Amino acid sequence: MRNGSATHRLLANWNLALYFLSRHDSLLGQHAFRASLFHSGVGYSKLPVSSSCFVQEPLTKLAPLLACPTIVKDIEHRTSTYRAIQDCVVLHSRELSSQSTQGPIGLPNFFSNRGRQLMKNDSAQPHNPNYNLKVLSGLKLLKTRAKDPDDATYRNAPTVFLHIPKAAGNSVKKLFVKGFLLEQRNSQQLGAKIKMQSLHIDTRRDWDIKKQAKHPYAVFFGAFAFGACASHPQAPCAYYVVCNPPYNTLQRKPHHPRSFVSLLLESCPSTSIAMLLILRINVAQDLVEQCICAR
Amino acid sequence: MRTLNIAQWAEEKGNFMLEHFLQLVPEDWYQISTNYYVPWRQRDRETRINPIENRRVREGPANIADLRFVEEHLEDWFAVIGITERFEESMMLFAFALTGESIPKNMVGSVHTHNQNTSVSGVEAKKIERVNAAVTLDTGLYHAAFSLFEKQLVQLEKYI
Repeated sequence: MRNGSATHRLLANWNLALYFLSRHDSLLGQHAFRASLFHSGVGYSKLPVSSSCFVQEPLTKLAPLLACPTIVKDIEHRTSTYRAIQDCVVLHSRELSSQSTQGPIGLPNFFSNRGRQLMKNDSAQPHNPNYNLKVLSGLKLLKTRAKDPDDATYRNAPTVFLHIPKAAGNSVKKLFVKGFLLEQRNSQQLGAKIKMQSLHIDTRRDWDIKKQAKHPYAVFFGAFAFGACASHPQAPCAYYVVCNPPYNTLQRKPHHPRSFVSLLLESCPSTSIAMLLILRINVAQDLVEQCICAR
Repeated sequence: MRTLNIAQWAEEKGNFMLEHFLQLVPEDWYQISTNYYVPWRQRDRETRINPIENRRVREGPANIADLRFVEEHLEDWFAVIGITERFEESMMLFAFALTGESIPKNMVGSVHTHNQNTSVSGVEAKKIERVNAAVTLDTGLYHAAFSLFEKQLVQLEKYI
């Protein structure tokens, strides 16, 4: 293939599609589906959440209908099953959405970027044998970074702190996010007070959905903050995070109650769950959750 | 209330650090049992699950493809990366990159980071094995983050 911008775009999309599909091993072998899944991404995000029907191995065309109560209801009102099948849209995955293909829209690493700029200025960029390969594979072409931003860009960009639980996140918030960073940003922008926003579940969803009511927040933080910049009017943002060795994180809170999720997964291990009925019985301080799967 | 030992806890949580680096999609904000959005505080406290756990139920836990993807893009996505064990240096990196100023040392020292005791002594070898197996991907991500952290420090030393 000729090495041109169209080729780069194609390879970038290919790379992204492969990433999505690699999370579902069974789909990797289906070439036509692989292509159509990726290209159907735009309409996909508009589907209502209520349309979720999971069928692991649809042996017959009727299997999806039996798995999905809303479609079964449709059959009662139609003259033939065939007609109902025609009206049934089967989705193989609910993963692809326009939001996830967009990328987090973050500024590249400040220090690596500075290093690159210095190398450019010195006209002494070392030959990297992997560079062309990365460019051709599309890994560097996703819409996730601005082109060689300068220092001022980082100092004016909205900041997003990704708070990994049990990784000194509260200390960072106290000292830096709500302390030093806020002071500095306020002193830089005379007269205008910098606004910050915690992105928990409700606030993060509101931030993504209520695009018409966007406030120009400059400082974000939260465990669900990653990707929030995708809907920021002043994107790209500067994301930052503190990582902790996994063992240390676990040591910090070694005794936890069993979560509902693990009990759910134990009882209903596959994605073929069509309907869940959850019974909770409190027996002598011990919470027992029982999950009944109906297929 | 049932509690877990550290190995069980690791298996329960899995590679949850990596899962924070994967973008959430609109479906993740909903609870499984309802067709409409219910605000977090109005959900049943005993059964509600957060968006990351929600995705895990829907799509399964993070896998090696996720790790590779995140590792590949870590440098492109994150303006700065810090490490808990190197808290002061992390704060210096954040301050320099995002404000252009140095953070006063007495200010950094004033913050207490919890639980510095991370020794594995006293934990059975079998349990450690189970923990390591459960958090393999998180460990991989941590190594990638640590390597980038050290690269950042080398650059910082040129300017401070």
